[in-house]
Amino acid sequence: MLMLGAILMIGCDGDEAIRVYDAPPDEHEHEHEHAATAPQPPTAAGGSGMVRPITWQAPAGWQIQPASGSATRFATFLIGPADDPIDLTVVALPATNMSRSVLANVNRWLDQMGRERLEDVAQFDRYIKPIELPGLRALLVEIAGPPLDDEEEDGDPEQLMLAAIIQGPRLVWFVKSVGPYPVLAAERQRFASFVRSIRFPATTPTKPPISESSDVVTIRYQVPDHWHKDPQQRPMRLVTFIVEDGSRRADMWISRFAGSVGSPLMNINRWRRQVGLPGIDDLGQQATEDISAGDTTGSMLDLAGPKDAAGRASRLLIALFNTGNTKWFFRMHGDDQLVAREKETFVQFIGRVQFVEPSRE
Amino acid sequence: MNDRIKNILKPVGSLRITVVLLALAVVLIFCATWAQIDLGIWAVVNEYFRSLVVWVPIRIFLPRPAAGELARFPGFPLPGGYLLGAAFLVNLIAAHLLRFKLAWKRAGIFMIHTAIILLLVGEAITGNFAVEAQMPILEGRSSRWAQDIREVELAIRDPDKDVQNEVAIDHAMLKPETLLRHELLPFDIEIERYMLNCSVVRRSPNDPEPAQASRGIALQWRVHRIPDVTGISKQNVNYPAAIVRLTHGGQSLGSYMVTPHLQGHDDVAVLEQPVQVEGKTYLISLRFRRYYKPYSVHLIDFKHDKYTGTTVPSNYSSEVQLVDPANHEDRKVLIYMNNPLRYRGETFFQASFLKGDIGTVLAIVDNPGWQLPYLACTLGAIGLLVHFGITLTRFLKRTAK
Repeated sequence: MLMLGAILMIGCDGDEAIRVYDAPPDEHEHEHEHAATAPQPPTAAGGSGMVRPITWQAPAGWQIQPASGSATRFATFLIGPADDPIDLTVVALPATNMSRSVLANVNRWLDQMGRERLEDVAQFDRYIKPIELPGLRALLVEIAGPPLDDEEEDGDPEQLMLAAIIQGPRLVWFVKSVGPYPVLAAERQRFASFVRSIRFPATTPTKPPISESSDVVTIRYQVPDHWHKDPQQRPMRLVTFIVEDGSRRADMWISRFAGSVGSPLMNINRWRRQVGLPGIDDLGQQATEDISAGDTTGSMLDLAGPKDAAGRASRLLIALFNTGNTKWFFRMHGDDQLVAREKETFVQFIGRVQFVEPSRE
Repeated sequence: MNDRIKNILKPVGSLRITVVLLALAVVLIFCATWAQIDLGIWAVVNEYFRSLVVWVPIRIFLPRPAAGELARFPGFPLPGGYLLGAAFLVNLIAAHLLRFKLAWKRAGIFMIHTAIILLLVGEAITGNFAVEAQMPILEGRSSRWAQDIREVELAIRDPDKDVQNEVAIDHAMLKPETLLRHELLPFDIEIERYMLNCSVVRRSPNDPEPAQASRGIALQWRVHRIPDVTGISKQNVNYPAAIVRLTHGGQSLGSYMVTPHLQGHDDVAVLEQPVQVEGKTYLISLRFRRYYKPYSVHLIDFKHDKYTGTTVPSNYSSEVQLVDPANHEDRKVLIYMNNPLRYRGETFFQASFLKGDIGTVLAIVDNPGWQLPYLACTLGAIGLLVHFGITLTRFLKRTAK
């Protein structure tokens, strides 16, 4: 009986050593119902003749590589000199607000290249120019990096980034390459002609075209009389106001970020450390208040730090709002007593803030 | 029941055996937990729980000189999960035949023990017959296959044929220095090297090291053996690689490096390399074991929602079009967490997503015994309540006297 039980449990190993499948001749048959035309595979590299969402004409000398690991990387080319080639990647992302936002993407690339971020779309001309693709919106981006030696601010750029953003029918496509300036500068024309050759066989657009301002919500606010605008532009800040009372001072500033800004616990601990408070392990240990900006509700933190040896303490007020994919931070930081006195004004200021959708402008 | 049968059942249904079996089960679980430092979760499940006997190396309890270096000796044998389960089953049934009498006051005990039997049988069915695979689909694309990422197969495809167009060789046959010759194969395959887990790096054009194979992607890529995935490693799937030498009629067709690491341009299927045999092209690849489906699943939309202001996911969902011409099925289905689709005896769970949220990964589970654990747990819970109720009533009656 024991043996019978054991045999029952072992069961039969039905795995044949050699199996024969009737694999569907076209694994994307259903897709054919949606695709208007049969595409041409871009290049060999093992293409199995399946329907492809994008086609192109690769310039002579560009070597396509097998995609490895990344689920978003559609293709990789080796371009430039054969003995020291540079990667050129073709990446596809779903058409979300973040991926469609030219400003957000260009600012991310500017960070990578050590350049200052753009404040608004009016400054686009410095790096971006449109490129013609039939029925599609496409942009060419060229960013030259500063000299690697910081002391030579006016020297020749040493790095160059060539990129293109193309709104496909379902996905946003990014073509990008970064490398030594002289090498990539020599590839400019071929890069542009490669981008011009891009086609999407499934031509029915399902998403709106790229819009520089589609997710750029702006704000309107009224500044209290005793807050003075800081004329100096600060990185990461849209605007800074200064409140002074004798020797006491507090800064109030507004920042805007697209996409992820880190975990709430990480941010709260960073802010707590800023005023000299210890970190916390659980979000529940930090009290928050609800705060409203017009019809938008957010959260506010009031972090009062301990007094230092000189008997001074700092305080930080932070109000956080989400508008779509954008996070807004309103912060007031400075002398403990001054910030405590200004808290009511801060709350009133935020209460009158209006987040304005681009379409209403 | 005659005395002879009773004499046989008495030792088999002994409560002492039950206690010993329970103690052995605890030891088995303890050893299996330690074994996960060196072995992947599925290797441990198969070696320790879905086996009759397991050899437990003592060194799994000691500090390792290097990951994966486990001597086979010294060690000790331990009954595996199947042997213990079968022994439990026999012990339980023998005990019932010997000691338990069919009476209402024993109803709860019978239900609890039946539940335990169902659980044991359920695991035997799941372990032997359940198939769990993943179906990755890009948004806007369809798929007709799922893959089991715990196994690989060497696939040879004939792109000119519509049926019987793929021959797949099970990973168990991919042993170094093995010659694979079969009437279904268009060429002979000699396995030169097989790595259970590897990483890939691009070869530079001036790489002083020779390519690992003479044809295909080996000219641009190189694979490196890395330690197998264990229960504690960050990587959770082994990516094998093989160097194979192909010959046809005594003529060499060259050697190829194959690995599921390298994907084709559709981002979900593995890269296939062309092999020319007398002017005809075949495609060779090492891929995760495939299960082709008689239906297709088209991903209309994948959603990955997060709690406002955080990166904490609040919802994953896949809106799919299920198309099965044989069953006249063509309908939209929304699959999300705790809301799987059940179709053709299979359950489709929202399991994961492709990097960048560009597609979904559905887990497709075909388990003929999936209802047994639910039935067993329900029966067991009712049995406990019944037994408690009967005991309580008896106690109250006794105290009332």
